[in-house]
This record gives sequence, structure tokens and C-alpha cells, in this order.
Amino acid sequence: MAPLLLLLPLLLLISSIAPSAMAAPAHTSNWAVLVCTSRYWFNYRHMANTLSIYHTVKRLGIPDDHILLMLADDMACNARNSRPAQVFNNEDHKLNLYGENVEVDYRGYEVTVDNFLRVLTGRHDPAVPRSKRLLSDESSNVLLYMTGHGGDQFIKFQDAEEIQSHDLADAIQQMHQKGRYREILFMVDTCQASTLYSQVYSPGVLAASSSKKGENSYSHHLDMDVGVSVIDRFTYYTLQFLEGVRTDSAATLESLFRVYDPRLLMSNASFRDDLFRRKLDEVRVTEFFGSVMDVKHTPSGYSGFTGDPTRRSDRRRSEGEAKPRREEREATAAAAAAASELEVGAGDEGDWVLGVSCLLIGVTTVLWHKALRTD
Amino acid sequence: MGADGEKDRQAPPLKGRLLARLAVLIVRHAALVSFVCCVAGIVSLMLLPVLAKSVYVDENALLPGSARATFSHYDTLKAHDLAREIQTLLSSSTDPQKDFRKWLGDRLDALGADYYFHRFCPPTRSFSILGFLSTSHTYEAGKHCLVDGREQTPGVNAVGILRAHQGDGNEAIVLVTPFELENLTAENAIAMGLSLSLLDLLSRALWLAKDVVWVAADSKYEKYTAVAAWLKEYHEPLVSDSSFEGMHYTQDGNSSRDIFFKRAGSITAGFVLEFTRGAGATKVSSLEIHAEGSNGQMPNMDMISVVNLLVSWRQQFHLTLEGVPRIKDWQWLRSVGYVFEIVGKKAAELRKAFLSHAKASFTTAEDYVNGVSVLLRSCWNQMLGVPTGSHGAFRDFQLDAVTLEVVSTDLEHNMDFLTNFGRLIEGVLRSVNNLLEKFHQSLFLYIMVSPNKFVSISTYIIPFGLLLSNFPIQAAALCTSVKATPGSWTRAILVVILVETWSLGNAICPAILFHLFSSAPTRLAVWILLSGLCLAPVFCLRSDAHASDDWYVPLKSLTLGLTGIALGILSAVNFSVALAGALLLVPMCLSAQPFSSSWRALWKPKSGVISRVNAVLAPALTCFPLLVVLTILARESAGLWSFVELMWFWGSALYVSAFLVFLPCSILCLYIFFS
Repeated sequence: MAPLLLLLPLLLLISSIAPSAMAAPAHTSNWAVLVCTSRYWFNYRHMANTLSIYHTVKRLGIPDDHILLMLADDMACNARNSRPAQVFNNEDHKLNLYGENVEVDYRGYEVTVDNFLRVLTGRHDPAVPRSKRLLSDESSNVLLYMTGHGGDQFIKFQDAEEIQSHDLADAIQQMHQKGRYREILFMVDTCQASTLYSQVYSPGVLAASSSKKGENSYSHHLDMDVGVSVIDRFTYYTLQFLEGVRTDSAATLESLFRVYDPRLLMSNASFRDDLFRRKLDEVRVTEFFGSVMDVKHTPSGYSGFTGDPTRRSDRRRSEGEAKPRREEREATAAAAAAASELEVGAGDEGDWVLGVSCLLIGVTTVLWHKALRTD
Repeated sequence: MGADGEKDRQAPPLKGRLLARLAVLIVRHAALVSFVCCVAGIVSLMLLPVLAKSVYVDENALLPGSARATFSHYDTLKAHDLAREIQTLLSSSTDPQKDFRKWLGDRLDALGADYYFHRFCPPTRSFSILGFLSTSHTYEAGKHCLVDGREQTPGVNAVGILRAHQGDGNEAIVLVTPFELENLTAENAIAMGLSLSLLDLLSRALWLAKDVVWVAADSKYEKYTAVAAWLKEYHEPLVSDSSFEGMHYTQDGNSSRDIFFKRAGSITAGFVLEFTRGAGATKVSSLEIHAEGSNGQMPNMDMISVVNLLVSWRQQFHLTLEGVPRIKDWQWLRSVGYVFEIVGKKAAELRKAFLSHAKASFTTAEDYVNGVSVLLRSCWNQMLGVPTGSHGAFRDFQLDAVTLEVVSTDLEHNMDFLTNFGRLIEGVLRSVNNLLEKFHQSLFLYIMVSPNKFVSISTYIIPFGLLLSNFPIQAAALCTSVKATPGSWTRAILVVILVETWSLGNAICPAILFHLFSSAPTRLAVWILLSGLCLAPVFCLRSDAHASDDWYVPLKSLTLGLTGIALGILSAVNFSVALAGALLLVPMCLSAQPFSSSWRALWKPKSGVISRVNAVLAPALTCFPLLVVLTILARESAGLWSFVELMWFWGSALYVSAFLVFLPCSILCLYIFFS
């Protein structure tokens, strides 16, 4: 009986380690910044692209308040729209992208380079509401999706202005310095898209694009009823892949990036992972497109609303010490296994707490066993 | 600042020396340079059809052909029914005018369109000296119109406005269907039926963002007049009391809903639909595009390329442009075409050998001849300056419009053709409907070579530039080569001023004569007599003894310089006129020399080949325009006056250039020749 009881935690520990060839996600929140930089009727597809990604990330679990949607939003009620108040990304018209609950944060003429950079860097006017801010921190994964008309080292914003790759690289570096992200997946669907992230130099940025320098990106198909192209190829095949992804899917970015066939795209999708710390086949798609993340149990209640400066600094320190504690946790891993039913979604600090409690339970068990024996 | 000044003072000699040296070099070898320029100019002119580029849609927003056309056989049947209804109505009615208006009003009302009737009178063709080139005709209609001194009923346009369901009413597309009630042909009736059927379809279209204005243009006094009258009223409302009286006109005389002239937004584009019976027994129906406005102004090229694109995608039409048919029989032109074909083939092979991606395309002799035919026709239309259809009225307001003319022999039984035409118009309208702003990207300065090929200004300016460059080069060469005798420049300037003044007088003369005399032959006779009498003293000026052989050189160089400048300016106004002028005047001006000196050159044993050739050519080239004018006077004297009147009425650049450029230049050359 007793050896069995002792073995149980060990067995549980082994069983919990074995399948995790893919490491548990290390971020604690997911954010998405989705930008459609075009306006006007003939750019219908860019709005459809962005709305499609919006619905996908929402389905995979990123809540609306973590999605910043920038949209010219002039399609649904455009006078030329033969299906008023509806937007489609396929000519079968099965899915109305504008149907329910679309929360556009920056609409119409608000989609400017200025606002976009402010969202990224967090340098807002004090009057800007929280819902229009990217409130990420250094353990957030951010999906940055852009679509529109671009060229070598730039992308146009609504035919009025443009942002250059240097500006973008600078904004991302600012984000890095301010601790506004842990990792960024930067996706661009535009002509010569890969040039847009060529200047980025901040760590933790993974970038994917629809085309290389000198290449055009093409639309996927035309809706003869609405009379415009409704979606771009790169986004179409991304969505096709994401359709098979659920919140618990183990699909990796590696497998996503493999679906971009140059023959179907009519351009060469390209990627940049030299700044990214992890291997692509270890990163689940849901870590960026969904909200599958690490949940941390804080030792104390959230102090943000009390405004007590000392407690806030405590919290910051405790996060800074996360790493040494992890080693400590490994030392007590054997005992920790006893409480492994709590492990799902357990984070760094939570693990430590669990470890200590497991140790206590283990010690108690041994003591209890000894006591029984002596009796 | 001071340092800069010094630098400037030091720099010019270096720069200037190079330019000056180049200029001296060119002037020294002026004969060779002009020869090369002339040959290159003629060759590049011949090459224009080969150098033509394929048409393309420049404006992104147009999205031609991206929507499915919904016009169906059902709509064609409806068009046929309507056409039949019109014909039975007209044949049975006692007052066709009134009944037709009533019928049309009811139809438009049923479609939910705003409609009204617009009355107009044709403008009186009066010469007014001040109004030239800024022709502002009045179309004000009272109870009656005065046409050629007789009282006539005014023309009545029927106008229906379809308001776009979701549109903001800021912009409109205009469809024009000319009709003539007095002799309504079957084709005309079908055109009306099809237009109404199209309107019916459009009234149900959800995609409409611009209002559609349909103008049934009463072409009693020419189609152009009807459309121009309506457009003028649309853009320049009449506010005087007397004219307001005229606008109180309704179909039944007392209904109040269609009193006012109604408007939609600013006009984006206009399409004139015309159906005509084709000549001959061939049953092939074709679609012809007419685009030239007054003084050769073309609409934005996207107007043509959208139609061309839709036609070539659906492959249902034989799209044509007006050409000069006789040219196709010219064997020499065909041979030139063969030469270009062979050269083009070789060039394509070479290109393929060196650049693997290059498209190996060349112009065949057949394409070449067709291209020349269309190009010449287009240039001729531009040169006359008279619009080729009622679309020209739009161009006067800087609006883009084309006429789509269906030429068919058997429209009543050709269901498919009509359906396809309806689908084409629907497609074009939907495309224009997608526009977000005025046409602004594409080309305005181009000449069509075939429905899918055009020559842009960047290409066609080259031959003209080469020909034009002869004038300054030769003028400079003449100035430097000969030491002018004292007083010869003064005399030259005096002669030029006299001739130019005389030409100006000649240009204004018809306007004055028009008011003095009533019959055309008298006017013409008085005109010729007057101008002849006035010119005589100028020719008498030559009686001074010519000190040396080269006395005429200052005069010739002045003529060359002035003509060069005038042609250069003219090319900006009307390119075809300028090109024709250059072709005519370059050989004439360059070879001009006194008869006596050419006679001497011919017989002098020492004179070179060039001067001998020149001596032979000079009389022929100089007298050629004179002979042409005399021939025209002898054969077509009656038509000449009306031609002059027509040119004046349309404010044609040909009129101005003929009197202010061609005439003084040829008179000066004649002056040199005869003295």
C-alpha cells in the first residue's frame, strides 16, 4: 500500500512530462491588432480579409476587448453594395462577416498612420478610452495583421499617407523597450509584403508575408454578384487552414506556413524567424490566433485598482523572480505530482505554490504512514 | 550671395560654349540635319500604327466586367414590345407629338423615374466676331423657333431621372437615345425600347450609386443640338422671366409635376446609344465607337477601353472604329505594311533570342493598313474640328462621353445581339458606377489605331517634333550664312507684317460679309475680290531693285521662324491640324526661293545636285497650295462658303490655322518665288 502511494506522484509526474514535447505556452495574454489600411469600394477584399481574421481570432478565444480592429468600414453600407449591410469573403455568400457583433475600434478616417503607431506604442492622449488601447504587457503575445496596398518598404493608409518599414521597426522596438509584448506574429497581406518587416530588429518578432520584394499579391476570387474581388489569396489560404483549428488543436505555425503554395498564391509567401526565440514547430497556432496561454496564480489579489504603490512593486518583483523559482520548483517536482490534477493551465507561480503544497502533502503522507506503522 | 554670383559668372562660359558649339555644328550642317529630320519624321509617321500600344483600363475603381450582367432575353423581349408599341402609337395617332410624350411620361412614371420635358430651339448660325472659339449658342425656346426665317415648333427632349436607391445623389450618368418622331425608323424604335427596358432593369438595381439620367433627344434639329441644349440648360440655368415662360410646358398642358427642369448630380459620363441600319446585305452586326469631340478633343481613354475590354472578354461583338475604306486598296501602303511586318518579325525573333521573357509580337500588313485607315480618319475628324456625334456636346462641358452605334441589318430578328448589347451597356454602366470621382487618371491625348490599340501623345509628338525642328534650324542657318544688305531686314519685317495683317483681315472678313450680303456666291466673290485687291500692293513692294541674289534670305528666315512658332502653338490646340500643317509647309518653306535664282541654278554648270533638285522642286512645292485653292474655287465654289460657315460655327482650329498660319506662310513663299 505505502510504496504504491509513494509511486503514484512519480507516475503522475512522468505522465505529465511525456506529452509536453511542445512546451506549455509561456505568455499570459493574447492581443490582436488587425488593420485594414484601404478604403473605397474596389478594395472590398481588404476589409473582408481583416474581418475574416477578426472572426477567426474571436472564435479561437481572443475576446473583443483584446482585439483592436482598424477598418475603413465603408463597404457594408456602400451605395454600390448590392447586398446592403453585408460583407462576404466568398461568393457563396454563406457567411456574412458583418452579421453579428463586430466591434470596430478605429473606424473610417480614424485609420491613420498616427493612430496605428499610437496603438502600438501606447502613447495615447489621456482621453482615449481603454477599449481603443493595446494594453498588453511583457508576457503578451500580439498578433499584428495588416492588409492593403503596399510597395517596397511601405504600406499605404487609405490613399492618403503611408507607413514605412523603418517606422514600423521603430514602433516595434519601442514596444519591446516598454515591455508591451513577449512575442509578436506580424502578418502582412499586400504587394511586396516581405519588405515591410525587413527593418524590424526587436527580439521575439516572427513575421509572415504574402509576397517577396518585387512580387504582387493577388486576390483570390471575384464575386460576380457583388461585383468585386472578395478576398486575397494569402488570407484565403490562411483562413482555410485556420478553419481546421480549434482552441485545443496542436497545429503549429510550421504547419500553417507550409500551406502557402506559390502556385496557388501566385506569389512566394515568405517568413522571417531570425528574431524569434523558439522553433516554429514548437509554437502552436493558437498561441497567436487564439487565447491558449499560461494562467498565473498570483499569491495576492490584484492590487492595480487599490493604487497602493508598494504592493504593485511587490508584484513586479515577484514576476522578475519567476525564473529562479522555476528551478526551485523542479527540485520539489516529485512531491508536486501529487496534486497534478490541478496542473492544467498552471503557471510559474502557481507551480511553486503547488510544489510546496505537494511537498507538504507528501511529507504528511510519509509521517502518517510512519505513525500508522509505529502504531 | 556674392560667392554665388561669382560662381555664376564663372560657370556660363563653360556651359555656353558647349551649347554654342553644338548649335554652330547643327547650323553648319543644317542641310544634312534637316534632311535627316525630314526623313526620320516621315518614317516615324509611317511607323505610328506599328508603335501603337494596347489599350488598358487605367482607373482601378472601374472594375470592368467584375459583375455579372443581368440583362436577359426577357428584357430584350420587353424592348421589342415597347418598340412595337411606339410604332403602333405613332401610326394610329392624330397628334403623334402629344401622344408620344404622354406615353413616354407614363412609362417613366411607372419606373419611378422623375421625368420632365425640355424644350429648345436650334441656335441661329450667326457669325459673331467676338464669340469665336468660345462659342456660346443659345437654345432658348419660346412658343416657336425661328429656323431659317420660318416659324417652327421647338424640339422637345424627354428626360427621365432614376434616383439611385442608396446613392447620395451627387453624381449622375447620362444615357442619350436620339429619336426623330417625324420619320421614326424601326431601328430608332428599338433603340427607344431597349433604353426603356434598360431603365426598367436599372430601376431595380441595388448597386446603383449614381443617378441615371436618360435623355430621349429629339433630333429634329440634329442630335447634337438636342443634347447640347439640354446640357447647357443643365449646367447654366436660365433665370430670365421670358425663358421661364417657355419652361411651363407639360405633356397635357396643365399638369404641374413636370414644370421644372430637374437635375441630378454632376455628370460623370455620358453614353449615346444609336442604332442604324447597315448598308448592304451582310448580316453581320457591329458596334462602332465614336469619340472625337469638337476640335478633336477625346474623352478619357478609359471610356473606350472599358467598352473594348467588355467586348473582348465576352467576344460577342465585332467592335469597329470608323476608318477611311478606300485606303485599304492602296497597294503601296500594303507593301509598306509588308516591309514593316518583315522587319517586325525579325525584331521579334531577335528580342526572343536575347530576352527570353519578351513577347514576340509584330504588326501584320493587314493590321497596318487597317491601322492607317483608322488613324487617318481620326486625324481627319480632329482636323475638321467638328464633333463626330452628339457626344461632342458633353466634351464642351469637359465631360467624358462616347457614342456607341450599333450597325445592323436585321435587328428585329437578332435577339442575341440585342441582349448582348444590353448586357454590354449594363456592364459599362456598372463599371462607371464604381467610379469614386471624376475620370482623372487615364489619357486624353491619344489617337486610336484600332479598337484595342492607341497612339499616345508621347509617341505621336515625335514625328511632329522632327518635322518642326526644321524651321528653327533652317532659319538660323539662313541668318548666319548670308550677310544681309542694309535695309533688307526692315523690308522683310514690313512685308511679313503686311501679309500677316492681310491674313487676319481675311479671317475676319467672312463675319462682316455675312451681315452685308445675303447670298453665298456674292459673299464669296466679294471676299476673294477684296482680299485680292488688298494683296496686290504687297506684291508691288518688290519693285525695288534687288541689290543682290540673297535679298530674300531675311524674309525667308522670318517666314520659317514665324511658321515654326505658330505650328508649335497650334499643336497644343489641335494636333492633327498642326501635323497636316507641318507636312504641307515644311517642304514649301524649305524649298522657297525666287524663280530667277532657281532658273539660274538649274543651268549653271557649277551648281550642285541639291540645288538643282531644289530648283526643280521649288516651283512645284510653292505653287501647290495655290493650285489646290484655285481648283477648289473652280469646282466647289458653292460648297466653300458653307464649309467656311461650318468651320466658324464649330470654332474649328482649322479655320484659325488656315488663315493665320497656312495662308500667310504660303503667300510669303509665293512672294519670294515671284519676285
